[in-house]
Amino acid sequence: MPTLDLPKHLMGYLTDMYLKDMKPAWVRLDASGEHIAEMGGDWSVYCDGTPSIGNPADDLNPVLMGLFPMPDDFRLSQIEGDNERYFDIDIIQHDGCWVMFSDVTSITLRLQKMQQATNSLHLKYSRSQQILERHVGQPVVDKVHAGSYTLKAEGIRQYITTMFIDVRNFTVFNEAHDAQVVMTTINAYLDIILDEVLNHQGIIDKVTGDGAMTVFGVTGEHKHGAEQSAYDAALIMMNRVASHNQERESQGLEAMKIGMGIASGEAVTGVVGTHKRRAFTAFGRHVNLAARLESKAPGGSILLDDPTYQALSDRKGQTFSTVQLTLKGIGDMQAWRNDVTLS
Amino acid sequence: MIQKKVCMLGGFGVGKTSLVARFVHSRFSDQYLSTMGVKVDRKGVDVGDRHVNMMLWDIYGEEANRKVATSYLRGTSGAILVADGTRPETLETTQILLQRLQDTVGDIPSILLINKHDLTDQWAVTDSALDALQAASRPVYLSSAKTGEHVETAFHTLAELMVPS
Ligand SMILES: Nc1nc2c(ncn2[C@@H]2O[C@H](COP(=O)(O)OP(=O)(O)OP(=O)(O)O)[C@@H](O)[C@H]2O)c(=O)[nH]1
Ligand SMILES: [Mg+2]
Repeated sequence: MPTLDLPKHLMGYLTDMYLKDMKPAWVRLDASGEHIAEMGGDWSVYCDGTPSIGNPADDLNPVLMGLFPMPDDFRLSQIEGDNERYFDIDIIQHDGCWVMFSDVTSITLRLQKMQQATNSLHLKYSRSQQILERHVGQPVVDKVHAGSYTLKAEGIRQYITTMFIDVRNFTVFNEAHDAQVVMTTINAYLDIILDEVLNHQGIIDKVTGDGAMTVFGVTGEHKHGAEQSAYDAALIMMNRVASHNQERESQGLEAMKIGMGIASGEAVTGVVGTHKRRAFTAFGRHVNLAARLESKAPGGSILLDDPTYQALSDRKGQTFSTVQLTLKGIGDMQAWRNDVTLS
Repeated sequence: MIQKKVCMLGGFGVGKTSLVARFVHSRFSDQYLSTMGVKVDRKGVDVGDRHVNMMLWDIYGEEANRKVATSYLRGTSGAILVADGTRPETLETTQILLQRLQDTVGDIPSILLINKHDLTDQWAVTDSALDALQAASRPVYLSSAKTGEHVETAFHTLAELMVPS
């Protein structure tokens, strides 16, 4: 041991501790750099029997196939053997070519636990990120991760727009078809609806069997106001649903229309539920109003309360008419109705 | 008999080990046991009237803190690049690995598998992204180690590319 300034007994101690378990075994290759000239160490771990002088070096292990003659130093680490053991192979140039095998099972198994934990954590993290993204959209996910948006249990009071969307005549369809068909059909409609909510930075509060409650303005990402975002989303949904219906009709399937109610006002947004199962939701008078408006909107129409209507900076060329409604628990009110002209 | 070394390359957890297990042993497990260094498995396939013995090097997944060492790539005749279709970022990893492969062994036959195609609900590779990948010269398959979709086809295609008739 030329470089370590250690008395023999300490060197021996270290060797016992670190090297013995590694059961090193080695061969020196002949001048051709391909055949075994000399060997030593404990080969029992790596091969059946001991290698023979004169044999090709790549017979030592299949991973060495085609590697000789090897011009430089080379290392393959943590090769998994058949017996759940791991070994390293080092090729060292020193007056010819030397090949050394060492057993690294115990350290590898320890490292494996750590790597496994890290990788599994990564996989779970990206999975939860994906789920979160599908429920609330990318902008909210980014805010949550940046720490700038937290769902406070006591709730935040803010001005938002709530939109209820419903697939009309679904109950009739439901009763007339097999459950699997019903599921696939409603999912095709919900795909369009939820997609546009997320595209317009809305949050999906809940999905009911045949519709959804969605809110806009919770994260303040709305350049032209939350009301405009909800309205824009509604118009695009109408158009996409119409083309989806055309496709269905061309296949002889029933078409279903959607109706929406949109209202705006103060609400308290936050988390409800026990600590095992929580959900984001919004409470406020206008939330109930939006639900009522939706229930009065015929398929193909949007009903808006006055504050939402007044806040629109761009009506996108649609025509509106006023309607007088008597709503249970709310009383008489004026709302705006738009029978959407498809573009 | 022709022997060919093939490297399985991709990010961690994309399904490299599962694809080899499906192809060689016709089995699948939901359990994740991350590969440490390399495990070599073999399977013979027939290409025309020739028999090719594929030595499949199932290498650990590339990860920010642990890059795939080039020594594992030396002497390889083909590569199966694997991405996870539910994690689009793993497609970028295959690009990085392909570059490292080419820098190490030159331009050799390779194919790209976008795996876990059975997870339709979580699938996150858009059609336009797929079109762009398919426009490149290497074959691309949507695969599943779980159902076996395109697994056999993929390994055979690579074998054919490695021993052209
Ligand atoms: N549903 C599904 N799961 C898969 C598929 N392929 C792999 N998995 C699962 O994904 C996880 C990781 O699979 P592995 O084959 O170990 O991934 P790997 O690429 O070898 O991972 P590393 O060795 O860490 O790089 C396991 O839980 C597998 O069961 C697939 O096609 N479909
Ligand atoms: Mg693996």
